[in-house]
Amino acid sequence: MVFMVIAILSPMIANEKPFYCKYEGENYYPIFNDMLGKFNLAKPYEGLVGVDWLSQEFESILRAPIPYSETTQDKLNASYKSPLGAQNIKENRKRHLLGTDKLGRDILAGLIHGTRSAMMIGIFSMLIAGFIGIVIGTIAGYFGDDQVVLSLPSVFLLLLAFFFSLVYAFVFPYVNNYGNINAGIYLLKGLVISGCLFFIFLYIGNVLNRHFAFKKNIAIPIDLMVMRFIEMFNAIPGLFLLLSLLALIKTQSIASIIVIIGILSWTNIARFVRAEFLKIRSMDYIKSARLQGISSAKILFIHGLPNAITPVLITLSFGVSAAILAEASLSFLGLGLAQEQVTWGSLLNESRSYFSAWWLAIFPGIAIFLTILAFNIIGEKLTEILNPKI
Amino acid sequence: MTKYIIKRLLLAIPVLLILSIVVFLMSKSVPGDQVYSLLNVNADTESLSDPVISKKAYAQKFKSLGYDKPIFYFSILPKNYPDTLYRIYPKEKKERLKAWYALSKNWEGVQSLALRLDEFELKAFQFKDSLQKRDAIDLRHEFLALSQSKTFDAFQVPLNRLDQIIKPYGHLASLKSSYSALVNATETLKNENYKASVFPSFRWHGSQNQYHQWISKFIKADFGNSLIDQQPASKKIIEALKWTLVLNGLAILLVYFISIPLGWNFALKAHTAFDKLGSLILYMFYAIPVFWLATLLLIFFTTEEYGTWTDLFPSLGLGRHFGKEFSFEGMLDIAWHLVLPVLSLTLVSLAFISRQMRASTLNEMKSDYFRTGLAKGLSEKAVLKKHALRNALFPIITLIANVLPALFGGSLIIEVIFSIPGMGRLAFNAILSNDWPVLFAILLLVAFLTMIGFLIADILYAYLDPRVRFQRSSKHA
Repeated sequence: MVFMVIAILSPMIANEKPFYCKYEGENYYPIFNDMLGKFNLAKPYEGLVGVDWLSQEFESILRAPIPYSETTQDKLNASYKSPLGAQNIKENRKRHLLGTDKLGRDILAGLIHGTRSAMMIGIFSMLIAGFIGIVIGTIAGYFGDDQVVLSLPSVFLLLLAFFFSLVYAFVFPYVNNYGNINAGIYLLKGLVISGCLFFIFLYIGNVLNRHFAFKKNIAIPIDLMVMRFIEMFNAIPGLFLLLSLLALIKTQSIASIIVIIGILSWTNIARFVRAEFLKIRSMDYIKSARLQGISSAKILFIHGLPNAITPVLITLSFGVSAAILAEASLSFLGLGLAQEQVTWGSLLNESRSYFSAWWLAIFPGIAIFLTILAFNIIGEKLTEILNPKI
Repeated sequence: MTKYIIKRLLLAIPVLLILSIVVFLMSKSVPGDQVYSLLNVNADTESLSDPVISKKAYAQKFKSLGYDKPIFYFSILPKNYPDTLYRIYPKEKKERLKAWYALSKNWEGVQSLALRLDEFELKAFQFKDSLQKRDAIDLRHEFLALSQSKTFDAFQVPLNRLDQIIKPYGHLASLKSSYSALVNATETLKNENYKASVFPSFRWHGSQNQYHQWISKFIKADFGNSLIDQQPASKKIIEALKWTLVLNGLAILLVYFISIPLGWNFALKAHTAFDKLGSLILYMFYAIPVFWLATLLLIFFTTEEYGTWTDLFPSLGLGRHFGKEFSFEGMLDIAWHLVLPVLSLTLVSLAFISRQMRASTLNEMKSDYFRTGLAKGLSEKAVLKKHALRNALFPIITLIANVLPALFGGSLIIEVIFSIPGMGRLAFNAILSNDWPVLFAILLLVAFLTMIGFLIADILYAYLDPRVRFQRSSKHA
């Protein structure tokens, strides 16, 4: 929770701009103005353009607790000033509590701003991973290898649906709009179209089954197929895959990193949901629901999912720490977000170029360590609360 | 047992196939033109500026790499889609034509426009010397703008500029005629409206395709040439694989040798102060990022910065004996260089495996057979050693399948930090320098190795736990 608060309030805690200042007879509220400006609610102050926040004298001022932004370059304290050693500080300024880096940027301010990107990546990528994982895990676990029994024509229709959705949802839009494709919209459209196609063909199959009796029925080993798919996903070590995918993408932003980490880390969640559903589906209440003729969709969402959600919460909290770790590894290697903004990993990376700067190695590492520990503990506690047996 | 192994192997085949296709498609979607990268290494820049010579060189390389073949065994495309698009080179032209086709759906028109454009470029090059130098440069510039236009309306501005450039030259009639042909081709493309075909057409290409060529070469360990120094990628990778295997092998051995007794002992003394403290420390270790640990070790134990005694280990690389002939002294030196990397890899996985071992031992101690053993008068030690140990080890052995990919990933960072010439560092450098053949060969190779690890773990598990073999479906994967 502390991390969340820091992440949300980071512009208020560490900022070179003050909360309030009086300058040339006018009152200004620069931090709030910036925050509103992000949502297009306020215009930047014209009177303050070109003001050097570090050295300018104001008539009256209320500064943020750490009066440095993560990008502020304090030229007086450039080239690795230790937090314990002498720092060249003017009277009206605060010390750099955790030292500075080569360019004179404040480490503490960097850490606090790094919290924000770490939290964003951890939580949003897990939302994506959680969604994919729950859907796939549910399907695999609930239907297993023997629940979906289709007649021969239905199987044929399904294959047809697969072929058509490949052609009309993905290949045709691709070649007909080449050079002018937005990847996100393209994927979303493709998934919707193929979903509709599958639905239509399944419906036709159902109608056929109702009117004609087909003798031969085939069980579709859905669970087996999903498990092989997951195995395939896990075969390439995450970091290798993450790095290669990032190398293929021309424009790297926090959004693309979130999406890639999300897409790469659903497998664990899917596995847990599946295991839970395998347990649940043989329980009496689900069996009785089936006997009553309640549709599988209803059983899944009303009876099954609420009971399977507990292990998901546990894996999600472990997943958040894994995602944060992945991003930190990326920025540590100097790829990903590190190219454009200060993150924990990028601060740690700087320490490798100057061994004497121990504060660069220790503090960002502690930040990463504590976050991971925190989410691991949350996961552990959740396990204890939700599974009193263990 | 044999039946299970055969079944498991058969299941692995489609997975490997799909994996290889995915990696191949990734390798096909890289930015930049690999043919140019390969040409730039050995061709002098003078000859490249001449369109006739450079096109010839390009065509040669293009053919020798097999890029003039279709991508896959078959293709399913719109009926009026050009069926020989894959033969077009260079890559940027192919991309251009694809985009133009998407805009107009008129392949004939696109083709004639491309032809006119080529013709004009050739003419412009022929008369290069009879133009004023400034005009020649402008011509080149506008021509580039033309070939990079995304819409046909955007053609108008560079076309007008071209007209202005060549107008003053009275004697260059043939250049002018090819210019007006270019304008005509653009006009027809702009004005004629074609519709995309809604019918797919299926085309079979047989084994003469790029994927087939790529994968059959891969199986023969021919991964193509590095774009950076033209060396065969396979040589580089095998050289690097050696070090990664040494690093990971040592780490796995150490992890298992330390963590199994550790977890076992923690479980025996469960809920004592010893266990609680140990578990807490392991828990902390579990949350330590491997790269942080490695950085700390590197910073504090390789220099004299923090006191004379801290300069314990050599810092980077494998030392001066690396790459030289084998000698005992050299091996010791290299081993000394490997201490810190192996240590940092070990410490992190150590926590994970020890915790698992502790949990699985505790689990066995709760079981019925354990109580039965105690009840019939056996000492606790005997029951533990004779019965519980074997059972507690099952899940730990199969964990190696989970640990393997994690170790490969972890060793990437470790290799980069300590600059050990292993696979991870090779892959990292390949990414930084856009050396695609090396990168994707590594990717597929690592995937294959991990899959083999999964297979071995599964088979081992089935061997140890007969219940798995008799299950109808494999639920443990």
